[in-house]
Amino acid sequence: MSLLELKGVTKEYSRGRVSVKALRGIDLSIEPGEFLSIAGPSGSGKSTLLNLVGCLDVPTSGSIILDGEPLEKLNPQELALVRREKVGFIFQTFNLIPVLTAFENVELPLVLLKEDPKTIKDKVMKILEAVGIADLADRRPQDMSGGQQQRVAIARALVKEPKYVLADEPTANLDSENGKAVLEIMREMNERLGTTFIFSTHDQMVMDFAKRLVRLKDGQIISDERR
Amino acid sequence: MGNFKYYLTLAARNLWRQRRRTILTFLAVSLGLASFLVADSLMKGLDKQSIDNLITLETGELRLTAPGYIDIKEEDPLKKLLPKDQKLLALLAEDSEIAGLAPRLSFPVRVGNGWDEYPQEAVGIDPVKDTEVFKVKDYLVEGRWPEAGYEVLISRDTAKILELGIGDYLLMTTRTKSGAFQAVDMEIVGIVNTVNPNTNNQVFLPLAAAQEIVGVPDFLSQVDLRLAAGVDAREKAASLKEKIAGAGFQVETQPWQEMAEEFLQISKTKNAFIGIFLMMILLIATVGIVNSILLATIERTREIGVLKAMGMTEGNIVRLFLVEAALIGLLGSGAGLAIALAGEYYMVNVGLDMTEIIGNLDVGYPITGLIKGAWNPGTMVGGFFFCLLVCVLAGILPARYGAKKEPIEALRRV
Amino acid sequence: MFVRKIVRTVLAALLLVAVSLPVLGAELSVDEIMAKLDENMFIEKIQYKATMVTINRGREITKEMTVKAIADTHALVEFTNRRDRGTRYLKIDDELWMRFPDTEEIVKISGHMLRQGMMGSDISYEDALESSKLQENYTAKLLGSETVNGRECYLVELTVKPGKEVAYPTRKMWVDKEHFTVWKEEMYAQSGKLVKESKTLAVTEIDGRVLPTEVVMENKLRRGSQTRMTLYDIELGGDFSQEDFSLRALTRP
Repeated sequence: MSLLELKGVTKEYSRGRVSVKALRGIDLSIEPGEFLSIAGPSGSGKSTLLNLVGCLDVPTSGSIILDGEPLEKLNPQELALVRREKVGFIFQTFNLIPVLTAFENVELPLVLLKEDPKTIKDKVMKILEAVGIADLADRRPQDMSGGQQQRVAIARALVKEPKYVLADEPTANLDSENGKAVLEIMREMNERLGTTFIFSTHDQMVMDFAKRLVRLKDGQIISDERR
Repeated sequence: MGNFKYYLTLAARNLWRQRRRTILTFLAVSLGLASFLVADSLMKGLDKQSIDNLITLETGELRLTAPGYIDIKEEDPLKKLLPKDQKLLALLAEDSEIAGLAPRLSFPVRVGNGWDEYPQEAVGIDPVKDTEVFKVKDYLVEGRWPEAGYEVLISRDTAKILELGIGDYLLMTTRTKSGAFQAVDMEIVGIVNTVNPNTNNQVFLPLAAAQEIVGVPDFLSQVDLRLAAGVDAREKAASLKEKIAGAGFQVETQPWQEMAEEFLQISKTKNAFIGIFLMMILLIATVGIVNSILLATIERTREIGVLKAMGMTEGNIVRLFLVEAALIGLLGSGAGLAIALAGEYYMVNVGLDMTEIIGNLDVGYPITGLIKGAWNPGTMVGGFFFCLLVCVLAGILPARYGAKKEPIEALRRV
Repeated sequence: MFVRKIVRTVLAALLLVAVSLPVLGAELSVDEIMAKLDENMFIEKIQYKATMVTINRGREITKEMTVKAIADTHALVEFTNRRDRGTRYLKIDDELWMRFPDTEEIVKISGHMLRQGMMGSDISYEDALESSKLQENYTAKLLGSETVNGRECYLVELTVKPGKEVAYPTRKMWVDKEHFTVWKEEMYAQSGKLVKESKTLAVTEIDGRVLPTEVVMENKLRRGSQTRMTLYDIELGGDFSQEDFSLRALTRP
């Protein structure tokens, strides 16, 4: 069974009187363990697609099936619970909670899942080690570099061992060296833990890293290649 | 529980992040609660003192009158009098629950200096026994207590208005029991200035002179009693009436609570005022909290988006902000309580000199001069929790507003 | 004819002398003086206008009124000066009502209110209501004779009878020996202190009666306080009866 199954998904936004068709019929099937990049120029609909896949939004028409369950039937509360259990997010601007330390940021998803404190501590330290910033556990975001912050973000996305991680232009705010390092970590995690990664980008280096590359243009898939 | 600790950490750090705003709201809540508690303490103190003054300067704790006297007092107080019966007085004197008894005869008079005259109440007193019940003598500012003959004690206000002093004669006019004009010159021997404005409208003269002036040699309008410590005036009123009836006398007994009815009414009005005061303070606290939380949700729109993406439900977000509101409420109320404790300590032990603030205004309160506060532990506990509750309730609306933000909308904003 | 006429005239003159002899000549007993006084002051029907000037510490207040009365039982007073226009008092026997023009409200004046000065004057309602039949309440005693305003007067002292309730337990009256009008009156408090003094400043003769037309009442307990009443347009008799004195008359426009 596919992890994610998109069938004829469209998304329209109404901006005042003007209606913008961000997605115009997407059929896509994503299998567990994939390392997939969605590429396309800005305005091609990749962020919209990511939001839909990330259960942050619902399609205007069509269907998204996650683990055999259609998402469009869920209310916001249920969608939140799906995100809590199954989805990890990595953002372009890292989006760490500024008042929390690296450890506390990473801890958050586990706290929401109500895991016991000892398990939380073990898991958080393990993942921080895995992304190479265990020594920065007590630092606040403001005292870390962009690369370090994004590693925390990756740790936060991965700590609960989600079914898949969505990353929206994860390297856009990083220099190429840090960007590459982050991508390497992501791929390593994909290989080691089998976590599915879906990331949007228009960066060639990121596309080169991907094992499957889906190109979007004007809200439609124009190519889908596996390597 | 671990969950709650996490919320608490997050809330506390966020409050610290906006410490200026937090401090403002905290001050609004704490000063609001503190000023309410101190005002309440003052009002309670005022009540206590007023009642004290009423009892020791005006009514006594329990009053014995002839049946029907209370109803006709305003119209013609000489119509229903109590016989000055030695047996009755002896009966009262023997009662161990009665600590003092003061026979009095009072009637309306006009007092003047030959040019002006003012209505006052003349009070015939037993020069010795009266001090067993009343403290008027303690407030003597000049001269002495009237002892015998046509001697009179007047208030400082009356002396000032009539431009009379010790040794001068006060022209007192009234009607005798049979309605005849009566006019007598009374020698002013003493001047008092009590803390009870009502006493300022009374003149005191020896009982015998009073009886002679209105032509009721063996009668009294009342016997005012001071009760032994711990004796309840209302209960005693009932039991004493029965006891006296058993001895063959018909009297009416009136505890001070009934005589103070008018005052207690004012006290009630004043409590309504305190209620309005409380409402205003709560409003300020509410505005502070709403402002704090609302601004926080706007500033942290992006964070709300992140938290929702991580799987926080609307309920979780609301809870997060409510913990913040509750924290401010807790700290504010706690500090308010602490300030109030200090303020009330001062009010109870030192007090507030009203003459400096408002002068000797007659505001319907049997009080002038120094006002002291009274401890109000009940109001403190109640006020603390109520304030806390209001803070949390005030946080609900803005918290829900914040929680409603769509995660993608929230994330889009940079 | 002529003789008869002369005889009749002489007889009539003699009779007149005989009747008036005791008045001019021999001293009357005190009861007779009081009876004469009551008789002179008792008027079946009267109407007049009056000006009342109250002076208190140099301040003068003037009020105008018209009065109608039947004996000493019925009276209707209406104020006519601008400030009080329409204010009316009605007295029937011992009861007194007042009507305020603004609210058209009728108030019965009773109890303590009777002891206040009428319309701010030194004349209390009580004074105004008092029955002219002094002998009911007082024991009279002749103290002697004195001259007041150049008139020979009896000086009579009135003392309240036991059990009677009056405002002034003692009064002194100076009664004109010829006309039986009171030229001066002093009213005393229980203590013997002089409370009020009234003096007649002018009199007029109408239908054989000598009535005071200008009276000043002084409050002896308040220096500089007095009320002066001046009566004019006095008419004995008139076209009204007891039925005209009613609460309805009080509200009539």
